[in-house]
Amino acid sequence: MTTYTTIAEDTRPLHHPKTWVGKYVWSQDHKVIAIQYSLTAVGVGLVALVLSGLMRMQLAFPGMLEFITPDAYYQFVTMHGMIMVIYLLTALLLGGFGNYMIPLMIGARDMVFPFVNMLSYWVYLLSVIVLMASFFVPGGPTGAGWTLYPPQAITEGTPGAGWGIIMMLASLAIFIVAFTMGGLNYVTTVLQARTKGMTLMRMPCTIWGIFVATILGLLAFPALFVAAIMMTLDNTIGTSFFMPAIISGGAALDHSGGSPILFQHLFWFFGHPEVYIVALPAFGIVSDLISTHARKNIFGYRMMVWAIIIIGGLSFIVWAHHMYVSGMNPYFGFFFATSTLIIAVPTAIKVYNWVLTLWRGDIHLRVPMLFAIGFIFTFIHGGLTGLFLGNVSVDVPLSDTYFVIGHFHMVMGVSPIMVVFGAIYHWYPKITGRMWNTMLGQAHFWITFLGVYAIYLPMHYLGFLGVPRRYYEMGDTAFLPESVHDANVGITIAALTVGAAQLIFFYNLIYSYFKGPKADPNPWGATTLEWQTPDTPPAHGNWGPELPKVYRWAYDYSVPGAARDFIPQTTPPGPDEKPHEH
Amino acid sequence: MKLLRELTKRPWLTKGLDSDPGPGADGIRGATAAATGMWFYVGVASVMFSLIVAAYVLRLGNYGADPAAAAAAKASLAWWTLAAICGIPPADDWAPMAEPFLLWINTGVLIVSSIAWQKARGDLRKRRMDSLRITLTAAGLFALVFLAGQLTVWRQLIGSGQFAAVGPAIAFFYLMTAMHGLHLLGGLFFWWRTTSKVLNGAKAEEIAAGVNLCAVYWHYLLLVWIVMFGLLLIT
Ligand code: HEM
Ligand SMILES: [Cu+2]
Repeated sequence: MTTYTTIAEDTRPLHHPKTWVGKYVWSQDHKVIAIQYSLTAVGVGLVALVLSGLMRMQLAFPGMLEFITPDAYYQFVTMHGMIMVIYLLTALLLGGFGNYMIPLMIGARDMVFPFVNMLSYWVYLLSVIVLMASFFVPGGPTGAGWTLYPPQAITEGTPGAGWGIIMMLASLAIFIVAFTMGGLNYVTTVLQARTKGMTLMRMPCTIWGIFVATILGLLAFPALFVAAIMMTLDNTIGTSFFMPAIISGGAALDHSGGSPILFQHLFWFFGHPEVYIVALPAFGIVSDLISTHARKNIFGYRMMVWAIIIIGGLSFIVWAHHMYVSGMNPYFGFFFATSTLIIAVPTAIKVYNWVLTLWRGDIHLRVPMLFAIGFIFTFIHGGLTGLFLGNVSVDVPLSDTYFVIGHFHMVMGVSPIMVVFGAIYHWYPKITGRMWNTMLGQAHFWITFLGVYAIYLPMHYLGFLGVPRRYYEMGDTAFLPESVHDANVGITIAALTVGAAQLIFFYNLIYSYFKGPKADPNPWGATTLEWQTPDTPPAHGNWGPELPKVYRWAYDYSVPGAARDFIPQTTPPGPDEKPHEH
Repeated sequence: MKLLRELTKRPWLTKGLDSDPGPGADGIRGATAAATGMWFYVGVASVMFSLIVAAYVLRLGNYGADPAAAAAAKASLAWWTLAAICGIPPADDWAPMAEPFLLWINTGVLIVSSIAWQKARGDLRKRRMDSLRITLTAAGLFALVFLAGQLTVWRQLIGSGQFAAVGPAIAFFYLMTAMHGLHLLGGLFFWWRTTSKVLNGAKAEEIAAGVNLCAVYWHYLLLVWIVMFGLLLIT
């Protein structure tokens, strides 16, 4: 028999950096890397938010801001979409929350490859810098739309067809390298570094969501990587992977035989799983928020885990529902519509289980819980419109209208962001050791929650009227009533309000970091390991000399007969608790 | 299936530590972190190479000059399922690539490199450290020779005007060889880490994982190369 030692049990003293730079810049501590990831992601996210405000200004008051030319509008659309999806949400949920939470929630001291983890952040930062630099190259950033479809992405006439698109593709490729380094860490840590007693099925839903999402990312990003490289080659050395024979500006280009549809397949083979790369961590986190703040075990834990796995698997066979109007074989559309609707089943199960967890729970409407419940609303809403768009015959007229914009902002823009806010409020006391201001948090929630409805509900209506997406201005369009313009003004006012309301959030976080009251180590009475650390915020190495031992699952809330309404995972079974039967 | 049994446990019923002997109990006992990481990476790389192959097959269409070959390609199940269903029109600019003979030699060199890795594993098992030094060095050097050979093919092709833009097959050839070469370069980084330790007299235990994982990775890259070279040959 070999005695089994793992990284998790490794109690050799960690390498403790002495200098400020070693501690906060070239740090290999997962918590510091998580903060670096998060701050960078939020930083670029703010750029994307400002861009959306500018677009909204143009849509409501065409021509008022003179620097928003049609070219600039396309560039804003593209950069906004790409930043939000990849550089903000993916980086924040996996690089930020994944990094912070995985070792803490499974009882490890750090990721298994800390150096690679550090590298992952710096490479991510490089990708962000390259992306931001594209604002300053000749011709500006690409305006091809976040989907970057060729041939238009690289032909004359599209803004940024020279430098911009190359910077974008380079940045994406760099991002994918960074993600792969981080992702290998996350999955390996979950599989190899769990502490004693932390079986797979004792992991909190948060970890399940992050774990499966990371696997999706590892398997989906290569498609984008390949597509980015092939398009770069088409653009620079004149290959014809995606470029058909084409006449541009009156002259035949030196391409022939390439297939634009091939790009679409590659892009969406990545693009659809990407939705779940963002959604699954959010699903996991929200499950834990709901369970903790409703003081009830999560309803149907096993179903929740299986649903995450099943959704992850199915997400690889639905990609072409983004291509119903691309002219592919109709049977193909039938297949993809079917698989898309099948995904709705495990997704609906999750929604029912969240609601059933709330049912007769001891609900504490603290700010994280407000956001969690807000998520249930926005997600149901976005999910239902997804059922519309999943059907070929319904999608064809709605495709490329504001209905689509309303749908995907609800389901993959607003919903994950709600969870991100909830999660930040939830874990802030642990991460900083301070408590935020409740009034400001509530104000932030209500303005954001009601605001996003004011923004996106009218968009569905605009979509039914036929307002196309990615249009700089509608001008005098006979088929659109005057009310479209009023709706656009209303949406913009709401959008600017929501944008400004985020200042409350940042003010709250920054002020509380310095002046907030000291937080209790476990203010919510939560069971999971990260709340049981000896120090708050957790010190380097997380656990002091001894690793925690796990005796129970993550959801022992309101157990009948227990002294308190929660039993931490580190509490050994009591005398009247049946130990494990052999 | 162990994993299935694990995933169907009812965690709310079982309390205590004894239900689980510790990390690695979930069907991955004994796998080291490095091995897990490597296998996941092999998964990532496999998706990437498969997608390149899929794109190649999709892009493949009419052979301008050779109708028989075109018919053969179109009769193949892979082409039919991928291209026909996806609605990608057959390309009529397809020109098969004339594979330089040097590629055969390179393939042989890569095979020798893989064999050397396998021998290194054997040496390690039998604790023959002297022999191990030689086989490890040889394994890496043959890989370097392979890379040099691939670069030579590139130079020959470019020299004869066969740049990537002349046709889809040749464009894919550059793409495939570049991606494969980069992966091999990455492998050589780990080869160097392991080999320098061995040359500095490290004990067998310290380098066992490195040697074994590198060897597996090399075999994997050999397989990738054979699949891609084969694809170029038959089309
Ligand atoms: C206050 C918040 C937001 C506002 C006001 C906003 C507004 C907009 C607007 C006006 C467009 C362009 C519509 C068009 O002309 O086609 C757009 C596109 C888009 N947005 Fe947002 N957005 C917000 C947040 C987000 C978030 C959080 C995400 C993350 C998923 C996101 C993802 C996208 C994507 C992917 C596009 C499509 C870009 C394209 O068509 O290429 N947005 N958004
Ligand atoms: Cu999709």
